[in-house]
Formats: sequence, structure tokens, C-alpha cells
Amino acid sequence: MHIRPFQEFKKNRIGVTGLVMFLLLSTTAILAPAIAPHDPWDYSDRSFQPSSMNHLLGTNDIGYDIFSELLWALRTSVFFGVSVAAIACTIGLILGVSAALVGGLYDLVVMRIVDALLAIPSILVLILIAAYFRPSTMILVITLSLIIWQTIARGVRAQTLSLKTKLHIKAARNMGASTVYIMRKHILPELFPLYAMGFVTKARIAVFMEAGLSFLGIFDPTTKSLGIMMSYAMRYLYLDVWFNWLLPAVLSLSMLIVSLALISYAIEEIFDPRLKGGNNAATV
Amino acid sequence: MPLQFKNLNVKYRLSGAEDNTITALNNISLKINEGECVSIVGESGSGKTTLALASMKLLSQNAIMTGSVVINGVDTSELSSEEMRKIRWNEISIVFQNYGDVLNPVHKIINQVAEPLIKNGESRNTALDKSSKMLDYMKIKTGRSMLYPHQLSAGERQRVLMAMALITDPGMLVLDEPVASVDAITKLYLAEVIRKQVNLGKAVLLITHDLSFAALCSDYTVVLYSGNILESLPSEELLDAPRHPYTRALVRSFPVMERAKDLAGVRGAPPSQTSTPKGCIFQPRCTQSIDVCLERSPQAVSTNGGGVVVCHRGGIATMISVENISKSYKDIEVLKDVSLKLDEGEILALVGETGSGKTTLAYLIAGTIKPDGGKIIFREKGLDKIDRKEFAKMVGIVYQSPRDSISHRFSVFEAIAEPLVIHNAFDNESAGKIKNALREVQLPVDDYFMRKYPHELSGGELQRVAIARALILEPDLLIADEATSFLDPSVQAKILRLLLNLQNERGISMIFVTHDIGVARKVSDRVAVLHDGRIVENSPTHHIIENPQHEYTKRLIDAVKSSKISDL
Amino acid sequence: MRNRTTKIVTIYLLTIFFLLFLNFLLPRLLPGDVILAMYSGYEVTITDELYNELVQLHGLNKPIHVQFFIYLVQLAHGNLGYSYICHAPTTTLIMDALPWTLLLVCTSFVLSAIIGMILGVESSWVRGKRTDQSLLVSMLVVDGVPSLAMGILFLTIFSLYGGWFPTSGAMTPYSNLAGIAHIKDILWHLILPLTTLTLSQIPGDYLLIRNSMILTIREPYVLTARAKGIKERKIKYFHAARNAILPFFTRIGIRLAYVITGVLFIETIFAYPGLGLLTYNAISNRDLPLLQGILTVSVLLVLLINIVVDLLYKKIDPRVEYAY
Repeated sequence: MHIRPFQEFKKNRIGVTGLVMFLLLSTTAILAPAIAPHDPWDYSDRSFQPSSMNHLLGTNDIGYDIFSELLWALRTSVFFGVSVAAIACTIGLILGVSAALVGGLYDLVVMRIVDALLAIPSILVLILIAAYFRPSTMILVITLSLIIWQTIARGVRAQTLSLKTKLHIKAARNMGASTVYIMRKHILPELFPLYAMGFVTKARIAVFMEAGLSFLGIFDPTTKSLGIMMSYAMRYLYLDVWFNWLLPAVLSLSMLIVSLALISYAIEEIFDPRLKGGNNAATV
Repeated sequence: MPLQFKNLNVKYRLSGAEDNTITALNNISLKINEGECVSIVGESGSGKTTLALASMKLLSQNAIMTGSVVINGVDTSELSSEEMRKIRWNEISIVFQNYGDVLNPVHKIINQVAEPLIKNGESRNTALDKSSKMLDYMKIKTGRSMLYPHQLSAGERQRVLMAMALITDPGMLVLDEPVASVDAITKLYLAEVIRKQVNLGKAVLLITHDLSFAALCSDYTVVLYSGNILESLPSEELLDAPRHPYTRALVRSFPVMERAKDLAGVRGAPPSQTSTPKGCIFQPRCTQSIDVCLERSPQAVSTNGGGVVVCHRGGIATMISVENISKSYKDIEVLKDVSLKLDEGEILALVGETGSGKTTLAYLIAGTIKPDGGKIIFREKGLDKIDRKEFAKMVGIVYQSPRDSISHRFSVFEAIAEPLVIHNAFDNESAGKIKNALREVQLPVDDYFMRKYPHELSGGELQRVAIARALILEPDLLIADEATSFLDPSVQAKILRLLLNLQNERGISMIFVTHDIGVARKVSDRVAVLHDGRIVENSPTHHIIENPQHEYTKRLIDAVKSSKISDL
Repeated sequence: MRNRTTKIVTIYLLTIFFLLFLNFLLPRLLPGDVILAMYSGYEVTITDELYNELVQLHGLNKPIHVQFFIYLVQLAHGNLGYSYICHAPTTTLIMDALPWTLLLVCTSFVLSAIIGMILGVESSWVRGKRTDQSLLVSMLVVDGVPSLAMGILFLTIFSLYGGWFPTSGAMTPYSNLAGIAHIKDILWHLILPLTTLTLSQIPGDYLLIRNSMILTIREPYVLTARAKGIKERKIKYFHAARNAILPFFTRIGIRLAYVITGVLFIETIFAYPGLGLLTYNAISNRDLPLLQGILTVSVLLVLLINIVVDLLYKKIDPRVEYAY
């Protein structure tokens, strides 16, 4: 069955809702330097101010403007999510396709590594590595990518293997097509659904991990992060900061991840033709 | 009246617009009595399975059903789902084709067989006891009943499904392709069980695409085409005397052990189910359609065989009938009181040795010589009343020797154009027509080839040119007079296949004149054996080969066989 | 079957190898001194005496393969190291915390599986109807709210502002409760973390079962059952759901990683004294031996559960021996 993904996606209400949410949040995040009313590292103001026209969400314990901080933190989240997703998907794609095409021992080794990585709780590994090295954000992005590519490689490999046996690919090979041609024209386009799905899923994991790990205090505390905001806001809950400090951070994080969850569900519904159609079983 | 379908219509709603539907069943009326087995045959997509599901009200949610299914006098369309649930498996049960996970993969088979009994309130022990006896009856070895479906063979699973259907001893049984995935031995055993159940008084609806199984098990056969009943006939006539052109085409496509003729397939493709044509639904693929077939759909007509055929022409029509014909050359009587019929779309072989009169008979039919006595009737009109030239357009002839039948002065193009020129039909479209004809007989269409002369061509190529010439006027009857006997075996095989393909695609009738009963066996539906100017035997080909009645026929067959042995 | 065993053993060996790499090799690959890298927490001063003791303990003055042997021997004895910050053997610390985590994880795992399955089965059965659609959308939203956010919201709303539930701990300290009252106290403390952890898992189970059911409903055996006149509920659960839940079991292993992440945050937020809180404290104090110990125990537990699931799965799906 030929699927026109964009037309199908446009018809999917859940997917469109998710995408609109995500685009709104990420545009805000990207534009943070331009639209943030204050410098989020400027602590010249009075601390614990309530919401006002000047400080939309008030100020925090050391006088940062919470709204500006929130925008910058969202920026970190989106950056982290997108870059981890891109790297993990690329690794997964390359290893999955090559394992399926090369086969033999190479395939076996890659797949066993995939299985082993599935059994190891990635968050603990990340915490341990972070504790050893106190790495920069960029290193954490790469480390996280290195331990969560496995599901993508597995899916890509299975799909490539099944594609390999398809007649149109055999036919192209019989016509004398090179491996590069077959990859470009026949295999990679077919892998798009997996890639799209993997990207969203991994972005979601990464956004969550970034917030979670900074909440636990693993990140450099001077970076702006939703997790760090939550963790500090929780320390001052007795000061009634929950509505202007904690809740915005919690909601932003939730909305970002909800938007990704909606998109990923929509992608699954669109690309799995088996999930199409109604329950064609008899009415009892 | 255990099971009856009354004006049953089923449509499937497709996604999208409300009126976007395909018709699966169109106005089906059918009765199955106690102690009777009716089989439904047809190509895939003909609506067979829809009928099976409709009989138990198991159609999917996107199906729209009108008309009614009556079970033991109760119209099921008025029943609530709870009432229907009670009827299922108590009054009517179904055997599905063993395809995919038709048995639940995670439950032991004996539990699945016992389930209907337990649902009816029997104790678990009695139910299991009865089930194990029933599995035993279906020849599932003791001990294997405790296994899971995937641990059984396909044949065993099909028998488990049968045991499951019989466990509550319902009065009606629906069998949906029960033998599509089983071996020949299981098939025979299932046939025995089905016959036994019919004799015990069950009403059985057998859905199958296996025509010989339908002939073996059922009393009546109903032929379904694109949701329409085209014919119903006593099952013993299905293979030998089908009345509808579609049934004959099905029979031709079906591999029966005794038949040696190449499988033909039904010409054309089934109609699109989204739109209904105005006339007869089979018209586009029919070999004998006339004007009225395009205009309205046909009504059912009773046949003298005790069946019903839905056809404007009352079933397969006779194209030519030869009645008591005789012919002499001077004082030698070549044909003595010969009668013969040729149906529309039929392939008839005239077999006999040199001097038996087979060639004379063929040319009499072609109208090129006139009989001394008797009549030849072409489409209900005496041949003597039809204009000679007009009739010649309807008959194409391929001769024994292409070197003789094509003038050596003619190029390929001229040779094929000759009939057009003769009938004043050569115009600016003719070149295209000739190219098409060449393509049809698998010859090159370039100018270089068309300018070639007979001496530049091989025997096989030349015979193809002759065939193209015979077909250029789109005749209704093609006579092949020993058309392959001059060719070497591999070319002969190719030409035979070409002729059969052309016959099948164009749906024309064909007379094959040959001395070789081996060739006749490969190409014809029916064989007429001529001996000393008389037809000594005239039957469906496989009957003649398997069970020749006349001494002379036996000798012919033995001759072919022994010549083959001496070849070795 | 033999191939499958080989495969599983290879996976487990690789996993353990990876674990050893992280715990044993990584500190030794670091630039600088191993002891200082591993033991210099925030509140520990490493005296020369302690330094030498540690060098002896790990055999750091010996060749690397001897060091590895020493490491393995200690591991085999259940000795995961010593936390100089807590002044206790890592093993003891972990074993004290583990029961609370297991209580939380097991209960929530079972609860969410039951609730998620029932919702998934019922939702798929009325697919496309209003009930299904609203359930689906709400599940997707709950699925998107991270456990971290959910925990914080519950804590602020129900404990800090509402005051209906305790804000921390697994039981009231120094209360000396016994019997029923003791159990009630434990449950009282358990409710919020348990609800959060369960809620965070339900959507995953629900979506998995719903999709699996959608495919199962089309299987021919469901039609067979319907033709047999079996009652609706029995078709739904005995025939369809019985098959549809199989993917749940094959994915338990993958799910565990997710639950471990959840438990880490939820215990931290509710100050519930399990492995998660222990991890948080270890991070805060930079207590590397403790972190290593927790990782080791978690990985071994995951492997153990995978083995159990694997053995159990054969009972649930009779086809499994043929599938491989």
C-alpha cells in the first residue's frame, strides 16, 4: 500500500495537535534570546518577586527573571532532544542498515550489542558517566545517543532484511544497479517511517533525560534547564512559589513531551497499515 | 427447509463516502434441503466466502445486507445478536479453511472442540469425553488431541475444524474451502465424512474452488460469478456438461487428473465490483455474446439437464450443427450420414486416419464444398441460405502446408493483407491491423520482415504468417487442418500453444483436424473420431482418452502409445 | 532451541561485560589517580593511610589482570565496595533500600499491567467509538507527562498543600507501630509514589495492548469463536485478549529500564527510601562506589527478571519453541 505520509498526517487530528504544540514550543525556544524580556543570568533584581508586568512570572531566589529563564531552559530542552535524536537515529540507521546488508559475523556482533544495551538501564549509566567525568552538555548528548540507538538499529535492520528479499530490489539488482543506487532509491526511502518514529521517540527520551538529570543535579547548575528550575523551586515551596515558578516549568516540560507523544502515536497509526480501518469483525 | 437464502444482497462499504460500495452478492436465492449438499464454485472474489459468512450472520461491520437468510424457517435478519448466538453451532456450524490462525494458537485443540458443548452447559468432563470421541472419529490420533494447533499438520487441523463443527451435531453445515490446503488423502477422507453427514440428513453448503471436489461431494453445484449466480446444475454434469460459457471456462481452467488439455484460464478479467454494467455481467468475457447481452441482464432458464442457467442464449449455444450429412466423390462415399455439433467457443478435434473423411467434413463445415445430402446449420440458419462470401469472412482456415498455402510471390505483408483485399476491406487502417496480427502470432513487425518472401522464412514462421492471415478478418470459427503436422516437435508445440492462446483470448470456436490423437488430447474439449466416413465416437476428450468405447478409437490410442514406446 | 540458549547467554555475557567495563575499566581509564577519582566525594578526606589501604584492597600496585581477578572475587562474594561517605558497605546500603523499591516497582508493575490491559482490551473492542477515542487521547496525554512532572505535581497538591499524604519516607519514623497499624502506615506512605509510578506506566501498557488487540480482533480464530456462538465477554478475553497480551510479556525487559528511570525520580521526589533515593544521595555526595554498586545490582536484577520472563513465556505462548 502506498502511503502519502504528509497528506495522511494532515488528516490525523492527534498528530496535527502534537505538531502544532511542538512547533509553538520549539519556535519560542529558538527565539528565546530575542523574546526573553530579561537576561536570565542577570541577578541584579530583588529575589522572590511575585508576577508583575516587568517580571511576568516573578523572580527566583537569586533574582533571575523566571519567565526569561523558562524560555532559555526550553531552548536547552529542545536542543538536547533534537540533537540526541539526530545522532542516535543516524547511528541506529547506519548500524541497522549495514548489519542487514553485510550480515554474517558483523550482523551478529551488532545485534548482540543491541540486545545487551536493551538490558542496561541507560539512566544509571548516564549518571555514572556524568559522575565520573562531569562532562559538558555536548558530551552528555553524545553519551546518551550512544546508549539509546539500539531500538532504532533493531527496527531498521529488520525492515532492511525484509526489503532485501523484495522483488523490486532484486529486479533493480538484476538490472545492474549498484548498492549505492539501491540504498538511495529503494531502501532509504522505505526506512523513512522508522526514522521518523525513532526520531520522535528518542527526542522524547532525551528531553526527559535532560530535565531529569539536571533535576538530580548532574548538570552544570549554571545552564538553564527545566529540571534545575524544578529542583530549585521545590526547595522554596514553603514560600508559595509553586504557581509562578514550579508549575510553569512542570507544564512546559509536560507539554513538550506530550506533543512528542502525540506525534509519535500519529506516525505509528499512519505507517502501520495493519492499524488502519475499523474493527472489521462481525457485530455480535 | 433447513437453509434458504432469499434475494440476498451484500455490499461492502469502502472507506470514504457513504455510497462508495462494492457489490459482493447480487440477489442470491438458494435453497438447501435436508440430506442435500449444494456446492458453490467460482473464482476468488466471486462472493463465495461472503455467502458462507452471511449464512451465519458473521459479515463484517462494513457489510450492508438486504434480503434474508432463513434457518429452519426462522428469518435470521430479525434475530437479536443474543438469539443468533444460540443458533450458531447448535443449528448451523461452519468449517473454515485452515488458513492462518483459524484455531486459537494458545489453547489446546480438544478444549477448542469442546468449547461449544461447554457453552451449552454440558459438564467439562462429558464435553471433553465427547470431543475426544469426535476427534477419534476424524482420525486424530489419541494423544494428539492434547496438542496445540501449531503442532498439528495442515491436514490434521482441517480435520480438527471438521470435528469442531460436528461436535454439537447441527442440522446444517457450512464448509468454506474445506480442502483448499489439504493433501489428496485427507481430501478423500473429508469427502467421505461429508457424504456420510449428508446421508444422515444434514444440509450442507460447500464452498470450494475445487471443481472435482464439488462434483464428488455435492448433489447440486451453483456457479457464482462476481456475486451473481450464473448456473446451477446437478454436480455430476459439472465437469462434462456445463451449460454456461463461464462454467465451461472454469472447468477448462481447472486441473482434473484425467484431463490432458492445457489449462486455459477464463479470458479477460473479472468486472470491477464498484460499478454494475447494464447488461449481462459476464458479457465482456463471454464467447458468444449477442446484442441483447449488452442491454439487459439475463433471466434464469431451466435446462433439460435439471439445472438452471442465467444466459440470454440459454447457456452455451450451438454454433454449427451438422445433420445427417453425406458426401461422395464420384462413386466413393467419403461421408455417410454424419451428424455433429460444434458449440460456441468450443475446441473440437476431428480425428481419423487419411481417407476417414475428416478433412472433407471440415471443409463442408467451412462451406467450401457442398454436401450431397443433409443439412448444415450455422447459428440457426441453413448454410445454403448464407451468402458464400459473407460466410467465408467468418471462417479462418490454417492449412497443413504453409509453403503451399501462401503464394511464393507474396511478401509477408501481402500474404496477410490478402483476405482484406479480397473482401474489399483494405484501407489505411489495415497496416496497423496487420502489424497487430503479426504481434499476436509473435512475429517481428518491422518493415524488413514484412517485406520478406516465403522462401526466406522457416516453416514455423511461415505457419505463423498463415495463422495471422486466417485471423485478420476476425473470424468466429478457426479451422486448423493438420496445421502442425509438417512441423518439427518443438515448433509444433509452440504453434499449438499459440493457437490455444488465440482461441482463448478471442473466445472463438475451433476445429482441429488431425490424424494424431495425441495432439487432439492436448488441445481439444471434445474429440470426434471418424472411421470410414462415419463418426464412431464423439465425447469429451478425457472420456475418450480414459475410456474409449469403439474398437477403432482404442486402436488409435494404442498406436500413439506404442509409437511412443518404440521412440524410447 | 540450542541456538536460542546460545543467543541468550551471549547477550547476558555481553551485558555483564559492559557492566564490568563501566565499573572496573572506566575509573582506570580516567586520567589521574584511580583512588582519588573514585573515592573523593564531597565530604571525604583521603588520608595517606586510607589511600594505601585502598591500593591494597583493589590490588592497584599489581598488574591489571590481577586487579580484575580481585574485582571478580569481591563481586562473587557480594562485596560491592565500601561507601566512605555513609560509612557502610555498599551491599548493606543497597540491601536496606532494595525491599522498598521492590515493593514499589512490583506493585505498580502488576497494577498498571492489569489496569492498562483491561482498558486496552475494552477500548479496542469499541474502536473508533467515543469511549475509545476519549480514552485514547487522555492516555496519550498522561503518557506524555513525565513521571518527574507528575510526581512533583502530586507532591505539591496532595502533600504540601492538601496535607492529605505524608511528604516523605516509607513509614512514620520513631512511631513504634505494630501489626495492622504498621501496615496501614506503610500503605499510607506508599500511596502517592505508587500512584505516580502506576499512572506513568498505564498508558504504555494501554497503548501496547490496544494496538495488539486491534490486530488480534482480525485473526480468524476470533471469527471462529464468534461462529461458535461463544459469549461476547469470553471471545474478548479468552480468545482475543489471551493472544493480544503476549507482546506485553516479550517487552517486560525493555519496560524495566523505563520503570527504573521512573522509580529514580519518584523516590527522589517523595523521599521514599529505596534505591532511587539512594542513587540521588550518591549523586549528591559523589559517592562513586555506591553508584557502581547500584548499577551492578540493577543490571543483575534486570537480567534475572529477563531469565524468569523467558522461562515463563514458554508457558504462556505454546508456539515459542517453534518460533525460534
